[in-house]
Amino acid sequence: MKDKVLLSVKGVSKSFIGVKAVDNVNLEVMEGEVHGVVGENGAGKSTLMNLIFGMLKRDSGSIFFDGQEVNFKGPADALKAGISMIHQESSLVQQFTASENIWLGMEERFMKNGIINNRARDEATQALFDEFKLDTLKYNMLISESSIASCQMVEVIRAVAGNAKLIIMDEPTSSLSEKEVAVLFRIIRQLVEKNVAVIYISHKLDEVLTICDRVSVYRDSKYITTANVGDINRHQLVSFVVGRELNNLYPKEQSEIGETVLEVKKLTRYGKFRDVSFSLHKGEILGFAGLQGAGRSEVAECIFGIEKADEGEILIDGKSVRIKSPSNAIQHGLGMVTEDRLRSGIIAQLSVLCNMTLAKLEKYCSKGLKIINRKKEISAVDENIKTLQIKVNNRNQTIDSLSGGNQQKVIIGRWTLSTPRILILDEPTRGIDVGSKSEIHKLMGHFVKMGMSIILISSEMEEVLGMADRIIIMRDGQVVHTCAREDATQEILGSYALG
Amino acid sequence: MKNVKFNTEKIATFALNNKALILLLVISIILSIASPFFLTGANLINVVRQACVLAIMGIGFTLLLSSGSMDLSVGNLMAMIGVVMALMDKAGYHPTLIVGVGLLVGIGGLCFNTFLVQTFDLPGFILTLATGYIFTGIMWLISGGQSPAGINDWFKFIGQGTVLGIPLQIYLMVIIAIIFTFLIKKTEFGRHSLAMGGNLKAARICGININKNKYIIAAIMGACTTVAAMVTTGRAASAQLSAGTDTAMDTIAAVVIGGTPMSGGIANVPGTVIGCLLIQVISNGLNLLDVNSNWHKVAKGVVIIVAIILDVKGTDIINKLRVKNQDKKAN
Repeated sequence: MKDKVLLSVKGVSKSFIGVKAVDNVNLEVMEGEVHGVVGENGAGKSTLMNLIFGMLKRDSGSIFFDGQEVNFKGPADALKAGISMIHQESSLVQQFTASENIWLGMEERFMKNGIINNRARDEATQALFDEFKLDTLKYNMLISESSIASCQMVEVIRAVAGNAKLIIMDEPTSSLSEKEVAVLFRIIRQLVEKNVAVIYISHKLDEVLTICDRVSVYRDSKYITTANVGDINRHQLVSFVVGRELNNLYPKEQSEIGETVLEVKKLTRYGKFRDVSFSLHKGEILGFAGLQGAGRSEVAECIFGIEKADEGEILIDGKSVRIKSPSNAIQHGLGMVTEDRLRSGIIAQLSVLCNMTLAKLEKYCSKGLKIINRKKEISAVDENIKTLQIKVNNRNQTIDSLSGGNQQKVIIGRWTLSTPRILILDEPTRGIDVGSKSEIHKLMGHFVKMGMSIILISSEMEEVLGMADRIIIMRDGQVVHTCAREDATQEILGSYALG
Repeated sequence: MKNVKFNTEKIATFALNNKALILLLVISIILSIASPFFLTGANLINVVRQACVLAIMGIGFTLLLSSGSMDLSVGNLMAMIGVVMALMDKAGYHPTLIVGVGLLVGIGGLCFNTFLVQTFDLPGFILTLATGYIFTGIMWLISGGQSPAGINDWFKFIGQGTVLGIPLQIYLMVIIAIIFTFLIKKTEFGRHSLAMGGNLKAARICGININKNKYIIAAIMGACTTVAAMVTTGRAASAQLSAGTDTAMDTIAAVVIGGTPMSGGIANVPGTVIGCLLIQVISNGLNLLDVNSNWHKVAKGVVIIVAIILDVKGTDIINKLRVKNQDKKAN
């Protein structure tokens, strides 16, 4: 009987530095229910789960669990109350055995006079494996030597061992084979029989429709709806996930599209993407749509020489080139704003000036000893700050004292100073305020008008639909669809990206 | 009131950025009161001279550390170079050849470290601890356990000679400090080195040739090590087998106290020179006050701890002051 409410989230909000990550959202999970949670990247799913699991503190609203309002101070409280979470990244101790991991923090059960009875513990582990018919697992297997699927099973069993009443699974099948998915589904059904509830977060709508009883949809930090899986079809679910009106954030100007400047033929990097082919024209913005992990960034990293492709060919102006490093790529007229601004974009200790001229400092240097001509450098930077409308007090302030949007503009400015012909922008507006975002979009239009070509990678469908002349959709490391902007809709993009 | 508060922030920022200078002044004032010998010309020149070897190493190390590298073998290498050069001198080789070989060993030694670190992607900290043992071992092997003494006059001159009444090594230190300040502040190479230390991944994406720069930096540090070895050997008129024992640690301490953080991306060459003076003044002062020499090490340790705490917490303190001031202004 699935009629007793186990978890109830009512009107919960949470902001990070003024940006609402979740806004007045709801979620209701019954005992013994498998409840799907779906939404695009950035819809607020992870934040919601972190709020339930006690990793974050809510600003307002209430969470009831097992009939009582709860205010978890940390995951330890949540675990004690009976909530477990299986993260996308394994949280097991690599050097420990399965049995040691499962009972980590719960060793008391097997303790006598302060000494752990390892045999009793291992027997209890094996009993659980047997109960769930996990015959490929052994209590003494080392986690570091186990497959991802096995590790995930161990995490599920750990939750069971801790008497969890609710298990949150975040993208549990992202690295599982079909066969392994089947095993996971069998385990989930067994859990349900034991009256354990599961929150199942996934981008894979087919899986959600298969395993879940009900599904809740989130979009733009807001709660959209909850539906019985029996009552909706795939198409309806997709439109719930992506369905929003295009607004006027994207002032893409018409620009003249010229000859082919970059051609990629059957580019492959084992385990990341395969047989990716496309061409980019002068003055064109080529959009790459898809989900995170679809292989789009990896393709860009290979083109820019950050990683090495295993197979395939890259042609610039019709000539085959071998790009071995970013320095090579820059010589060939490429530039790239990477996805992770903090880890591979800004150099936090250096000033706005130093950050901006870094990609082509030699432009301002003398021959031979390469002494920097300070005057030349300053005037170039000042001019760029003006054109890009970057808000700085002083060109010598460190870049990490700027807001995210302005940092990103400095990084974009770095590449415009290096005057590339082809600019790769990987998630250029992620985590940036709306104002900076539209300014960056305006700049992109400006760049292509001047004859630059842009590869735009974005997980935000609106952005791709608004800015790109042509759109390539990738899923699971492959190009699944290519279309002109006129022929693209949110539904088309969504259905190809989600698969 | 507002103005006063604003000043505290400025003063705190200045103090934390120049903590070595302030520590140096405070300790110097205390010492000049405690000992009548401290503030004499002879003693001060002596202190500066003693600080020179450390400073020559430290200035090179400032570049190394700020570019994100680490090398604990520089002291061992310095001692080994001293022995090699002294032995060659005793064997009667031409000074040019001796200096050439010395530079080759210094540059080669650190490029060898860089080769291992870059090729096998090893942590420099551990690797150079190991190669340090190798350098020391080689030094003992070629020296046969005895300090090669009785070097020629040209060699002694490097460590003992004076020009216009000022020891030659002080000139060396000042020239090296000026060259490095220029290199780091004014050239593409210097800017690229700081970028590497600040964010290696971002630097690579900006097209900087990481590998090449790492070797150049190692070579420059190797040359500094050789110069330091020549000064040490020349001053004592014999190669010092135990010269390298604490050198790496003293160097790192002086560099960090001087305001170049362990985490890279920032370099402060004048700060390093002051850091070296500070370490030397502490030891000089304790000598003058006739304190048991074992206490010198304790004192050095304490100063380093204080400096590191200030280094790590300093930015926090400044930020807190800034926020506080902004709140006050807002109210």
